[in-house]
Amino acid sequence: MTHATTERAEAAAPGAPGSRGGFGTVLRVQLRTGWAAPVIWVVSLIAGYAATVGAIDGLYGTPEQLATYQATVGSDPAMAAINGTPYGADTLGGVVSNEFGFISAIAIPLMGLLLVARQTRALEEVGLLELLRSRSVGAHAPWMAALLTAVFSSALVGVGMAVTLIAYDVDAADAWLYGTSMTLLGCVFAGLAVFVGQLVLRARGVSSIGVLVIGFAYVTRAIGDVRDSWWKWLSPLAWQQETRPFADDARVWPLAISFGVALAFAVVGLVLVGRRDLGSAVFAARPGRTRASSFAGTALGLALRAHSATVLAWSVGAAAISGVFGAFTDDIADAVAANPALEGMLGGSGSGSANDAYAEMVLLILVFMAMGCLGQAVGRMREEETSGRLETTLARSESRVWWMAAHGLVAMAGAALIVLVGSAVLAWSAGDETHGVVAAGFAYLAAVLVFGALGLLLLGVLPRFTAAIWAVLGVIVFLALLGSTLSLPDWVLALSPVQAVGHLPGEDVSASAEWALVGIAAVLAAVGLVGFRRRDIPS
Amino acid sequence: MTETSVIEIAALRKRFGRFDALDGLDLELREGEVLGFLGPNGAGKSTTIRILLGLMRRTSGEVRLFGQDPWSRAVHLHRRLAYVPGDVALWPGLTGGQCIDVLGASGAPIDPARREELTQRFELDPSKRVRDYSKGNRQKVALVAALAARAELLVVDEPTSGLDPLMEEVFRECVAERAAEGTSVLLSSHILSEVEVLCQRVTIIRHGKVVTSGDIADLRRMSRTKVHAVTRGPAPDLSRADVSGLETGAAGDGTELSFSVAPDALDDVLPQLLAVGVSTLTVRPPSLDELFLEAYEDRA
Repeated sequence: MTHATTERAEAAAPGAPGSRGGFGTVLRVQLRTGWAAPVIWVVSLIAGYAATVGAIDGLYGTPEQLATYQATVGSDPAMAAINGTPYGADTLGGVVSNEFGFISAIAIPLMGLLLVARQTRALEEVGLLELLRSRSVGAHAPWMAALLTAVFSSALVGVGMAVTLIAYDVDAADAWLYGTSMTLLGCVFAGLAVFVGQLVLRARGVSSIGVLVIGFAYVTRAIGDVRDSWWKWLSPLAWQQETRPFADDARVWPLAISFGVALAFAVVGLVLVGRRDLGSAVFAARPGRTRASSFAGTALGLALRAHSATVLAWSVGAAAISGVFGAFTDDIADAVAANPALEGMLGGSGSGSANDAYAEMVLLILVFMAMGCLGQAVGRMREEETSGRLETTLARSESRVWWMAAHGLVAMAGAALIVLVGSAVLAWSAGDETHGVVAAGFAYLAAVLVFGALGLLLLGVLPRFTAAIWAVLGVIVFLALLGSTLSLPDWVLALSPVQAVGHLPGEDVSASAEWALVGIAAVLAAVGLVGFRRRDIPS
Repeated sequence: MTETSVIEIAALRKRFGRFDALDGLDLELREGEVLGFLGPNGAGKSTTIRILLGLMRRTSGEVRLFGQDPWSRAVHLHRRLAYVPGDVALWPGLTGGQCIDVLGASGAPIDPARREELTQRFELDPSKRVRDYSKGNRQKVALVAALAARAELLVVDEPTSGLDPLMEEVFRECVAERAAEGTSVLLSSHILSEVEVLCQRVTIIRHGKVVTSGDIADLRRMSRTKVHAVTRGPAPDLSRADVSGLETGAAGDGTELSFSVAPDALDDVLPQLLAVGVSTLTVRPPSLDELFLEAYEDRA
């Protein structure tokens, strides 16, 4: 094999014009080192979607049942805010795209974004591209290879969705329009990652900006859907949604916006990468302070420094989403007044009112955000270890347990802050329509604690699988949003700590569940700390 | 190939924001030559190499690699060279052997027999994963890939920063063999002794500018001889000779003297010392290390 490669390279060597610039080599090494991520994204998205289609087909098997869905959800601003306007909600495809709307709106953009960032800026940041680029590998090759992987993964998800729908006798043209719209949604964010990747030096910066854009896209789409305004056209999510694949007025033209924007981002990004120095960015690093304060040198100080920017960013995001979504509570009250059937439908999951169910949805989003922050914090701690910084830290007179405890405390306190700030803003923004929102947010913190403690457990006992925390978050989100729709058995639902808290603020807080969760969190964290004390560093 | 210069750099400038990393640097590497590229940390060695590899763009000045522009012709030119970075980063999930395959799949082709031989000589275990390698072993992976490549130019940045003395010796042997076959070598380092045995010429830079450049033999001739003497009588007046760093002190009846002097001026100085009589006389030959330190100190 080495011989064959050598001969081919030699044959091409004497001044071969129009070289491929090592694209093939880079693509192969990217797939060899990073095949798992695209496979997990594609398989879990298609599987989640297929499970949802199957469940909805069982629940709304007849035209009458579908008509009921249309009559209630179709006019419900709460669902429009969370999942998007349910176009064609009297068809299987329409109902599924609405039920799956939240997950697809977050997961597909994230997939496009992260698949590009982790194979490009992340590698450049650690210096991996330097040796590779000293071979016959052009500046564009890593970016184009990562972009191709992300686009291909998005296409596979789109095809998987379309084929699933067709298998359930949905009109093929509608199914393909839907699948294509989802593929292009992924492509927009893959293109965004190529573009933003040229602007900032760190991979973390790329994903932070990307997540910010996802948040912006989600909120503008929600405002546009609830208030029926032009705001939605600022959102890539609307470019997907407004193709209305399963409605009578299905249309293709919004895809042109997705396609154009994705292409523009990618082209501008690739032009920039061809012009800039390796290891540079449009916005370069600024010199910092040369001395640290005495507190900054302590374990707690270092932990605060490590996580404060992330926590602040998530808190601002939580406040923004709560503020906007809280304001929609009036719209829901109006809709319920006009259509009393909505009350039963929406309050159905718990014993409370439509407003309580809506507040629960927004609180869940805040909980997911806090968990996202915890996932980042745990990843950051792992990065301290793999980069070798942890060895330097622990070489000082500092115990391992205290290092992990300090980081864990700061991260958990930050996560709590996100939920509480969000809940407080939600309560203020929703005004008199809801009660007990902040108390409910406080109660959900028990679930957040369990998630954070699980992260510490992974870091302490299974450090190489720290990233599995994201899979856990994926499962928690899936169960919370679709668990009851899919009629999953109780024991499966019980795996999620969020489920154990119950439906708040509609129900009463269960003290026993709260204490049980806190107890579980304490045990998980303790096992993590013990494991961390016993294991090799780095490992 | 009528070109005799593999690398030609003239008046090269590179600005990072307000900071001049390179400030009018000149450098030449002739075909078949081993050039030592020396300078203290932060002098601009790695920046020069990155510009040479087309990884960074020059702000101004002239850079030619094999007579062509290294930025626009990077992919094409890289088939003719091999590079070992100072800080080797590789894919944590791949084994050392897989990394060499990946690097060999583009650029200068890797000679399988030589690869095998080098793997043995560097005592590299190619079946280990990169995340389990030490810094030195990661460097060996890059060294094997570069030295096994059929390249006309070898660029090595801080070659032995992670190698033990035994491996340093292997590295020197391998580079000498490649140079004997006619490969041109650019050897960057901040330690003179590391390159002294391999190079015919050195270029010493500081603050992005060349401080000294020339044949090692010439530099040796130019550098100063250290003299230490204890005279029997009062010290002679040496102020007319080209003497620097003169220090005197009483030593019994006589005087203790130490100074440095240009080799040409020794004829002038020694008779004066002998005239007053010496009880001790040490004349230390020119040391390149001192030359080097002199160049590093603020002369620019």
